[in-house]
Amino acid sequence: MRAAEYRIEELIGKVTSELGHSVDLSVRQFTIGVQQAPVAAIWLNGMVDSQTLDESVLSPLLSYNRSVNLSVHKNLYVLLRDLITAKKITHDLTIDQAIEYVLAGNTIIVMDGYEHCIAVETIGYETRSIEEPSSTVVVRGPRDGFVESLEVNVSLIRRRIVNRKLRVEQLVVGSVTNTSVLIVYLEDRAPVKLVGEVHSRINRINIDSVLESNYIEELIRDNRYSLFPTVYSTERPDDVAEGIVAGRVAILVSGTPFALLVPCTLFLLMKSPEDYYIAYPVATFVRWIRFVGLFIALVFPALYVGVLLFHPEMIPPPLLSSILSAREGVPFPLLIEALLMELTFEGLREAGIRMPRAVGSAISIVGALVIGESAVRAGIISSPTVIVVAGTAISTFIIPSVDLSGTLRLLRFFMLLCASIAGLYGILIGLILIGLHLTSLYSFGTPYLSPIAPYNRHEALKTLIRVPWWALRTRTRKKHNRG
Amino acid sequence: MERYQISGRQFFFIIFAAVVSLIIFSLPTQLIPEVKQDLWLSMVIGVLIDIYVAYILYWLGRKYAGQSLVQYSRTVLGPIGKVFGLIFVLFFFLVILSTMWLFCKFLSTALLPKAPAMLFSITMTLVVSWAAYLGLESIARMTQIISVIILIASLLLILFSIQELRLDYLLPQLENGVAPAIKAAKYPASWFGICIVMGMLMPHLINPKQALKLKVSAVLLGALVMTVTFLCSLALLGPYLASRIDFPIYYFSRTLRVTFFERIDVLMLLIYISGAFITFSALYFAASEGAAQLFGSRSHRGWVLGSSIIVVAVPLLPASNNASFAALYFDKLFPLLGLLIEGGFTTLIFAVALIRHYVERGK
Repeated sequence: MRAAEYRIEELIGKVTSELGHSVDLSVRQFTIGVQQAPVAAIWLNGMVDSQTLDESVLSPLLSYNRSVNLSVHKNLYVLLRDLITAKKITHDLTIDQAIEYVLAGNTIIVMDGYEHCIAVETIGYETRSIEEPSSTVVVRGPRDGFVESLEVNVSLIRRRIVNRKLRVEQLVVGSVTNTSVLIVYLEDRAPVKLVGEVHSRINRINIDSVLESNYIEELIRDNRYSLFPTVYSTERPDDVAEGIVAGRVAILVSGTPFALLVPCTLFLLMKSPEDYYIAYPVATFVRWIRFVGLFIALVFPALYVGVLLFHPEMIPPPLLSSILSAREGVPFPLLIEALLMELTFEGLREAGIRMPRAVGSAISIVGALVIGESAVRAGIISSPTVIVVAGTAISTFIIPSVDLSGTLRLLRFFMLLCASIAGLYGILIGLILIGLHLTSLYSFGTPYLSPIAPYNRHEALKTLIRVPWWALRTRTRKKHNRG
Repeated sequence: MERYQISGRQFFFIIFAAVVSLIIFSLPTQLIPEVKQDLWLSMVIGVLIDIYVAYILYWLGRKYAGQSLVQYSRTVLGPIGKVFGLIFVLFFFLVILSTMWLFCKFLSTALLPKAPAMLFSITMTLVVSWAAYLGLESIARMTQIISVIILIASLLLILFSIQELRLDYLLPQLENGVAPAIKAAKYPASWFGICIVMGMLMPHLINPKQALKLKVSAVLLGALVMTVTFLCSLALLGPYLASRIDFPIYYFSRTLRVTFFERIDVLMLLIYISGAFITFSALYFAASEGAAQLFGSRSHRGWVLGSSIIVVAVPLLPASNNASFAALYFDKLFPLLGLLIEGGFTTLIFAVALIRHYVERGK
């Protein structure tokens, strides 16, 4: 083992030059033993926990070894293993391998005359504390949300599913970023085929960087051109735990609080984790409000334009006359007016998201006063159109999934176009087109509209109403039957 | 070729939607002027004929399991069977063309008078050929959703009309004897007979044993709903008006008011259009798959795309603006052709298959 050519200066120089003499690279040189053998610890500042580094690597090496006679120990590794009190040590690493460890937050120890070095796990970087997820808020239910650290996220799931069958597998994606991706599932619930499919799709990914789970989502989804999300993303560990128990596979990506769940169906996107935390009649009611909201968000402006342009006879005369009198003097055709208002709302919404909180109220004042009040009073926009757009906006916010409501916002314009060409018939054709797309869509082997089409009575019941827990006798059901 | 699989429930709903939506556009105009209040008898006879055909197809489908109508007509009849297969495929296309023509004419007169008929043929062909392109599974899943809506809407329509019905319009029953009703049975029989599409769908059924039961119950349910709707429209509009207007069912739904909505006829129309979509796409799939099997193509998809050009152009066909030809075609030619192919050809294949069956047994 001991060879003259591996001088410690060379070893240190190799690491520092490989990392381009980065300023956050720290090297601490010292000697151990009676023989005063030169040793160095190398780590990246900020990636290591300084307390761990001090207490379990540096201080044992520096304080207790003055009297050690190195000639007694044949292998320096054995000595160091017994001295270092850190929880995990990897040995026999070449310098090249060791650099990877340094990058991952380990401290490596190089010894004069040894080709191989030791990596001590001292990972400990600053993470955000566990907070309530801001993207999905519940009134009743757990308040913890995922953070950017994989270890914390996995622990949040493990705390909920205390089961020996819970599997956590690691894959590395991104040729530049080398991002860790974890696959979490329950071995006896998730179908073997599904897990294999997830593995192979993630392994097939060829990308240089992964900074958010959407990178993975876009690359593993079934239909690349579909507007509908076929991967479920969530910030809530309870949501993920529920999915895992139901036999889905969770994908956690390092550096983002958003976890992915597959397979994902349209009706999964319409569920909120809170459905299971509140009384079942209320939850069922809310779920139906959501279904209605889905429909309204998609077709309400289209219906407004289509019916007024092509089938005014369907509207009761008093209502029709009040709409028409409100529209008197409006310079735009109905379609343009509706499009204009929809686009204005989308703009307002986008502006509201990016605004600093202090300026946020200005947006709502501008939105409410200028567009809502003044535009109507000036006769540029009619108030029925404002009402329709507002109703649609509310319905869009009812949809629990941000991805799905984004899809609906886009499709709403498509429906508006269909309605302006052929009225209700156009809306019907548009709906059939969307329906056909949905029926041919799959998410990891599961039909997107299941369990309604193809129909599965047991699952469909659970989808349409929130079945109380006492009424659920069989928990495990075949989920992935096609047909 | 891709193997599509459909469940019994999906098969049931496809047949149901086909029965209901095909005849809603065509049958009342033919049937009501001829037999008026006795139309139920024609419907019953039509259903009986259809059950007979269904039994034949079921027997053949079970005997030649995994083969479609086009395929086993070749197995049974040899080279001549290929001609039969071609005729079946052409007949499916003919039905698509005829009903598409009716559909476009109806919509361009009733729903959007200002729009050209081409608008409807283009949009409908677009969705239908896409559905056929995607395959039977997509069609079957759409059917599951749409058929339930059709069923509920039809029942609601009947329910809302009950208080306005005048049942004495339906009397006297059988005042001209049973002969006219039996003669008029050719209309429902020829339209119900479209369900020989069952012969094309049966190989895709997960459990073909149920085919007969499902088919018969679907036709029974569809015919029942439609007969009651026809009778209701007669009882509401009166035989005189009902036999003179072009689309009695449409006017029937027009007279109804549901809570604060003035006119639900458009909604009813939309529901039947979505039913027509199911029928078209099932027929379209059957026709193009039949053509693919006939000519040994690898996929039915090429046939879908090829034939869609013809279907789009239906309103432009030279015969389509000729009212007397249309009347002759729908009143005389189509029922005759339909009965010949649906009843006659299938019976012929059945007879030959039966003979072969016993000859083989005798050995």
